Amino acid sequence: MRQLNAFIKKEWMEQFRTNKLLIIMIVSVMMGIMAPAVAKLTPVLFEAMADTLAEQGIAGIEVGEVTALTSWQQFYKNISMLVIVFVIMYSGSYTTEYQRGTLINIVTKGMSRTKILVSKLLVQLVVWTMAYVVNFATTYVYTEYYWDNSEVKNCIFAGLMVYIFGIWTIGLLTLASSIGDTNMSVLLITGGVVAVCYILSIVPDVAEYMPTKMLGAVEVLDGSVSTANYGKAIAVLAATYIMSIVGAILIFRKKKI
Amino acid sequence: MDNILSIKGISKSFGGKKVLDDLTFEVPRNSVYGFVGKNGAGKTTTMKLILGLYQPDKGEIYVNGKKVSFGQNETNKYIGYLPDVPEFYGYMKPTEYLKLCAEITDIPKNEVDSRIKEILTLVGLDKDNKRIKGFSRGMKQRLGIAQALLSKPALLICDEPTSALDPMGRKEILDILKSASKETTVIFSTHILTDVERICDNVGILHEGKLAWQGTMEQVGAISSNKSFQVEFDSNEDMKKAIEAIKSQNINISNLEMKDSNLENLFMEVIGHETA
Amino acid sequence: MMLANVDVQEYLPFLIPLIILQFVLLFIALRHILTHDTYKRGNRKIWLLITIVGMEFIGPILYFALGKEDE
Repeated sequence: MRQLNAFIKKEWMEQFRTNKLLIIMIVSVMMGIMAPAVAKLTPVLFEAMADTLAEQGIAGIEVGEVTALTSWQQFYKNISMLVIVFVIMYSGSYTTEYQRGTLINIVTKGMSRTKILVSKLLVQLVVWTMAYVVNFATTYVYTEYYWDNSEVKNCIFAGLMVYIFGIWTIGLLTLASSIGDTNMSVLLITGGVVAVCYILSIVPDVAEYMPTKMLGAVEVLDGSVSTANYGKAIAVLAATYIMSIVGAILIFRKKKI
Repeated sequence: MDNILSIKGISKSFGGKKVLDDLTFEVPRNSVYGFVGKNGAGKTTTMKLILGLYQPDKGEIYVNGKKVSFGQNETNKYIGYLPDVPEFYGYMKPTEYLKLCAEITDIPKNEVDSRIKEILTLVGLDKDNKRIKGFSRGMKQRLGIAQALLSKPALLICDEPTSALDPMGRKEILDILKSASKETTVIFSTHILTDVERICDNVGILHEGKLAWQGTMEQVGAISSNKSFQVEFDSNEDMKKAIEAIKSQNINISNLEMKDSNLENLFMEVIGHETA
Repeated sequence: MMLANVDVQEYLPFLIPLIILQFVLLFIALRHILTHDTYKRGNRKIWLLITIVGMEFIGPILYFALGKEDE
């Protein structure tokens, strides 16, 4: 327990002193503001350019009424960006230590490798939770200010789906970090798996089981799709997440560091 | 004899190249063991095998009577290790880093602070409590020794602790190791033979994956000095007279500049007179 | 363009924090670049250029992810 606490403390200190936490939080707030901002500005920009468009013979573009739903649609359009920024920023969490040899001192002191992995995983989950909650809350507050969140259905459910997709991605990142030696290889493995999920999702029956389904959770907001449709994908996500972590621990215990 | 470390028939290859070939040796408790070999002789590989960082192809290693296992290695709690280029978390201060080490090795809570202070004074870093990022090579080497000695390990393993340092820094590190050897067994690898002569009492010479020679420093002296010695005269004239006298006895002098160290002679002999 | 008749007041609640955060991020990145001499890849000129050109947040992120030396 003392070893685990000590290494969690080290990881947590790293978040502050290397500015990682600060940067990811700033990006979260900015992206949280941008969704309602874009929703609010789109009709204004169309109006401003209406004359120009008309001159060019483009006319009759109907800009629908902007509502809370528009704001949330923007939010889900951008959310994969937050996941990508997170993955890029944490792709070196292990590999930097492999390359510099900083784990050698730690491991040769009898530190449990499993505890190293668990510490890093816990801290990354906490950072993701903080970043996502701030991101979501910012959009929520702005949407409430300009429109009315009660107009959208299943608001929290959709938010949770993207949140667990982030958790799943962290599991994938951990597995990739136990396999790869450089942060590029970690990014390629992680990105590769997500890409395969997307490709497989071309088949509609398969898409229902893919963790990447979570990123399309915007569809439940207008009530046209039932939340019950997500059961299968959630089950697959949970199972593959546990497999990722168990696999990562097994590989990391024998990793040459 | 009580051995802190025994290596029994270890072989290790990397990509078809045999680095260690049936290596066997033992290190007695409370000795300062100089592990000598050319660059690439397999010194670092041997050390990483002792630490369970590599898996041997064949053979077994025992530390303090317990078997070393690859990966999650229990015997590491007896060992303090100083890598050739120790790397730390640059955003930490030395006290913070040592505290992390103390918690990992489970030093009793009420002893941690005093122990850290003590060890920082020993390595001469007690005045440098700034972030490690700004440390010089020599300072990192000292901190490396501090983290290795922190838990008072039974065995201290140092991989080329002096090679990257200037003569002044080398002397300081050797002095620290020498004083540490009062409480622990020290194994240190090097290709700088004078360092070994300065502080070691036991020597092992690694060549082509095997231990080519092993013995105490006294034995080194006994083997190598039987044909050569160093004479100093008060003046040039005396020296010329002495040489004339030797010549008059029809004794042939093969070399007048026998200033090479004993260990160096032995080393050259053992590895077959190749130029190191 | 007829943006003139848009009620700017309406947009200030998001414009002000966005601009402030953007500059905070830019400032952190520029300060880090200028106080470090070595980078994981690239050189000072390249990172200053990327950070300033992509200042809306991509530039600083790229620097912290790919250019900043590991500690």
